[in-house]
Amino acid sequence: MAAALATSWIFGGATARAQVTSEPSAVVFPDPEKFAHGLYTEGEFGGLKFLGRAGDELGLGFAVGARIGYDLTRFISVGVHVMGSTHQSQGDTPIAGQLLQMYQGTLEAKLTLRWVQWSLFAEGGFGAARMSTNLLYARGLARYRTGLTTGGGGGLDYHFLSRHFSVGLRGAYYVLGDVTASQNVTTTIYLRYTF
Amino acid sequence: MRVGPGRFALVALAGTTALACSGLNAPLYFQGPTFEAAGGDDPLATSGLTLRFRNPTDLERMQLDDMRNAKGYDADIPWVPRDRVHVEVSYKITNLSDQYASFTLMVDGASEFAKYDTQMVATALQAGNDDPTFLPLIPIVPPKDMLPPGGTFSGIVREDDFAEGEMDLDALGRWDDASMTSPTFAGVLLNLSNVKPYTGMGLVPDYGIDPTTQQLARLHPGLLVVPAMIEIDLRLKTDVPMRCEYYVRVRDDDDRLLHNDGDTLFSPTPTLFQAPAAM
Repeated sequence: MAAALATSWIFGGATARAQVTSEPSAVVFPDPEKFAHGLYTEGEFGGLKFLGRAGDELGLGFAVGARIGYDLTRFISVGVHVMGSTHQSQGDTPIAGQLLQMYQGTLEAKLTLRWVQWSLFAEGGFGAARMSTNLLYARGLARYRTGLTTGGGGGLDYHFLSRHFSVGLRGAYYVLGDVTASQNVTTTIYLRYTF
Repeated sequence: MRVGPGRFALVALAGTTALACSGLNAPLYFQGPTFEAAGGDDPLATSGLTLRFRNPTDLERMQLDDMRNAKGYDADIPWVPRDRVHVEVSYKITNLSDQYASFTLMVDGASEFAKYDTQMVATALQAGNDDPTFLPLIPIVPPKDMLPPGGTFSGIVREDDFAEGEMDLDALGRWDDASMTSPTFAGVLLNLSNVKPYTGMGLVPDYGIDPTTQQLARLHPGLLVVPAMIEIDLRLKTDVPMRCEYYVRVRDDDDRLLHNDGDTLFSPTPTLFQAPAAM
């Protein structure tokens, strides 16, 4: 009996203490390092509203877009963005109720701040916007159907447990350089795939 | 990571499609000169707009000649045809008076071959001190309710209204049949040209006498290339002061409207239709 107690005292405690060699590190799950980065594409849809003079002439429209980009680092990326939206002319004019589409193409740069599966981003860019008809010209707001545009915005991204997919919500504000005193704002949700 | 060419192609296709779609359903709008009627106007208050087209290229002229030979009837093929140039008018009428009133809007115009003027026709038809009879190419049905003081009414003269008016204009201008039983004037203005009994269409190449029924029938639909209207004239008939604002909307399928500095202006000289004087 005494021998058994002595053996338990000697070997029991000593074995347990010998396994702890340092403080265990906190487990981060999922590990953002395991998310894909590099070339990515996005598809998006939402709404586009004109502001200023064009906002008096054109109603809120449905917008769809696509983006292809490349993550230079975990925080910085560049990309190309195209978006099309369709609108109805409004107001007390003979051509109220006519349809018009706007197509925008921009080069963009994006800054991202990531926290596990969530990230905040801000972006900006410049490019061109083209109207499908000369309706704004007929209303005296634009000389040409195609003009320069520049602006920016930001949003929130949520990465799934999948290595490749994330979704997000973004808003943007763009100035329509060749449409008199006019801008547009967009709000879209998107699905992103990083290769 | 490896990105297949299929994925790149999909993205490129999506972008290209979006840009290509910008060329579809792309009408052009032209603001017509706003005009006002004082009420009881004689002649009627009017405003017009002439669309500017480019001249055909040498190749296009050859194609028109080939088409003329293929069609087999002895008349020119229009450079601005109805099935490639689609016209519509959006208008707004404002009652400037302090009383309820109605109005009648009329649309006339010209193709590259013929011009029609309701006012001149009404003058020709007028007998003695009778009120003039207006027979426009495209009559617009007045609104059911009268316009209140300061009220407005907006409407559209649709592409199919113009299609009928353009057929009538060509029938009057190039295929005028003075037959007593089925006269082109004013038969085509009072009847739809694509429904029986095809009043006034006897000399139009699409039509002929059906050997079985011995009646006028549409024997060769689509044979005639109908010219589109390149000049649009509006007239406003009202008893009180009113204002008319309008836009002409054009869908130009083959890019024939003049917009390049290198092109020259198409300048046809349409013949004014002369109505037979009142008996």
